[in-house]
Amino acid sequence: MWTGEKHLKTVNFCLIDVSNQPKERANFERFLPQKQNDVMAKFNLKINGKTRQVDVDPDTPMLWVLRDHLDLQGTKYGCGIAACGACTVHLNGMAMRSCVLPVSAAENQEITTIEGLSENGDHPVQKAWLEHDVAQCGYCQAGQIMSAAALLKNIPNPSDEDIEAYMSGNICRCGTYTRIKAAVKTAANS
Amino acid sequence: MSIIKTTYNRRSFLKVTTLSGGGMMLGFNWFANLVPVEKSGKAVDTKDWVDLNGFIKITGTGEVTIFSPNPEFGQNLMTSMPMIVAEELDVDWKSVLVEQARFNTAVYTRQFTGGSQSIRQGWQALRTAGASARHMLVQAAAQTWQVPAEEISTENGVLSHKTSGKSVTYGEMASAAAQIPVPKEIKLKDTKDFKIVGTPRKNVEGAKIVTGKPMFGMDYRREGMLIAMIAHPPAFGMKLKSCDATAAKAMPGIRDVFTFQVLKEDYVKEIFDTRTFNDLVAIVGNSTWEVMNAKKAMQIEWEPIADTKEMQNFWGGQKREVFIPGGLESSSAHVRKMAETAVTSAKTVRKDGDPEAAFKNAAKIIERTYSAPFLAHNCMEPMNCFAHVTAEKAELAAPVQAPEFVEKTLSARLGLPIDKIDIHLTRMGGGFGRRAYG
Ligand code: FES
Ligand code: FES
Repeated sequence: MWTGEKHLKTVNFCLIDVSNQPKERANFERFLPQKQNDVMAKFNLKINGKTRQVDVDPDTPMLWVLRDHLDLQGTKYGCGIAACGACTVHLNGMAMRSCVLPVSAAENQEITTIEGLSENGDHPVQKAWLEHDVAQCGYCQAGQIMSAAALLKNIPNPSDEDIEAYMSGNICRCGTYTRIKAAVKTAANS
Repeated sequence: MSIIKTTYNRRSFLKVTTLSGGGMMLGFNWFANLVPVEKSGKAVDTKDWVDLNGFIKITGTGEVTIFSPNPEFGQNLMTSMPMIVAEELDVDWKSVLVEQARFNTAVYTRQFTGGSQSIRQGWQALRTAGASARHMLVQAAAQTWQVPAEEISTENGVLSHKTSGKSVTYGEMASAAAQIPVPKEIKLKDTKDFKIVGTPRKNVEGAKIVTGKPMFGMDYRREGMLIAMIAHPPAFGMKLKSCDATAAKAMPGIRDVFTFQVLKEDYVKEIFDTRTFNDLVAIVGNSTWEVMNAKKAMQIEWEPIADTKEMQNFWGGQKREVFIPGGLESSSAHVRKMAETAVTSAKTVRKDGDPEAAFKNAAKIIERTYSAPFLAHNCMEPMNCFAHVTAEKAELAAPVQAPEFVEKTLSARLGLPIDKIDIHLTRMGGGFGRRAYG
């Protein structure tokens, strides 16, 4: 796993390399292991019912621990400033923006991501989402689903206003809001 | 019912092959019917599979896979385009598998999602491909059973001959069908017989989306990959003045920080090349959070740009001069400009009836001014791309609407021939035209 390693053994790729000098392009020396004074710490995390350990900077948001270090890419990055909801996970059953949740605050708490919401993708919210064919591009939907699942845990039979208020922090740039609302109601009734 | 030729200048845009392990694969070019062979400068029917951008695969076990060539950003053409193929092929939609085809081009204008064009442009080629595959399956069954092809009917992926009571699945007939020559012309269904087209079908990727499967550009992973982020000006109309990376470079996990030019000075931009922010700063490191922190630690000064003129390759190979006004762009400047433009005399493009008289005789005239701010085509998924560039080749995994434009610009920027650039298409977390620009 590349992400779990403190120092990379092999580097076969750079996200951006626009140098047009062939010599420079082939020169990967600058990417070889180097000495660092990292302020890393080990954290024990309970994610989707499993215990996982990571060795990261204590300020690292859970979003990046999940995506970069634990290879759980279902939780999405949209804004990084708690403004879009794409990164929503459950912390002890509550909807939480993982982009502003430091790993140090999440230790030993129950974290659930979209990958762990149900074993077979058959949580009532997931089923309702498929029934209503909610997704367009789909990028915001993991966050929407996690928010909706937390909403239903709190308010099993939400009114339109409840849905609007609870889901207002989840932006959908494709504009799937009417289907989201319909799907939440279907899930509530199932 | 219409009859469609599958050939252009005697060359077929369909090609069939036998699958190893049994079955048939019919390749076709979605846009062949739009790009005349003389213009594209290359025949469609070559030995080179690169010419084909859509495929129907029928395995011996009856699995039907349709490869959807156009990049998907939520308008669901990964569902709707294969639906058109499945309609003419006469297969059970529920049993069809859809896969994103790889971007693989050398010559044609295609695999572009934008301008509300995909279905309009793909419509005929998709139908022709589905109908041709069906025709070949029917011919194969007619030969096997020694009955006239007209007596064979197809439904839900099964071929049947009523009088003899014989029936067989497409899968069982697929290898034989691969031996049938591609028809020169083909009858398409009467639209009133459509069973799939015109009916609502669900997103074929729905289950992956609701379970959080990695499918977007942001989700692409490769062993050993690093993360880079770009620092760019805070507003249109600004450019890089100076940059001090000392603090950022010393931060944990940071591998390098450098400034670079997106496009070379003498490069003539294509219409979909981004016009702004040519000088950027890249921060490269081990993990996203480390890179984000280093980006914040960067000391960067930006300054307003001066009025600029530059040449651009416009549609149809003409060049035109583009004027980029200096200074910051803002919504208030847009409103001011609109007000200025509104008082100059307008050019009549179209005039229906007699509006002057209608206004004169109106009982009441209501005047209102509405304005909307500049709306960015922002996407939920931030702009991103995986790239592995060596002296010999460039490999990308990218959420892009127009891979062929990206490929062309990259080729010029990196000095690599087009065929050394390989782009994997990922699902896009929104496009809206923003992702048509590279
Ligand atoms: S990424 Fe966390 S709220 Fe937008
Ligand atoms: S489905 Fe595209 S952002 Fe919500």
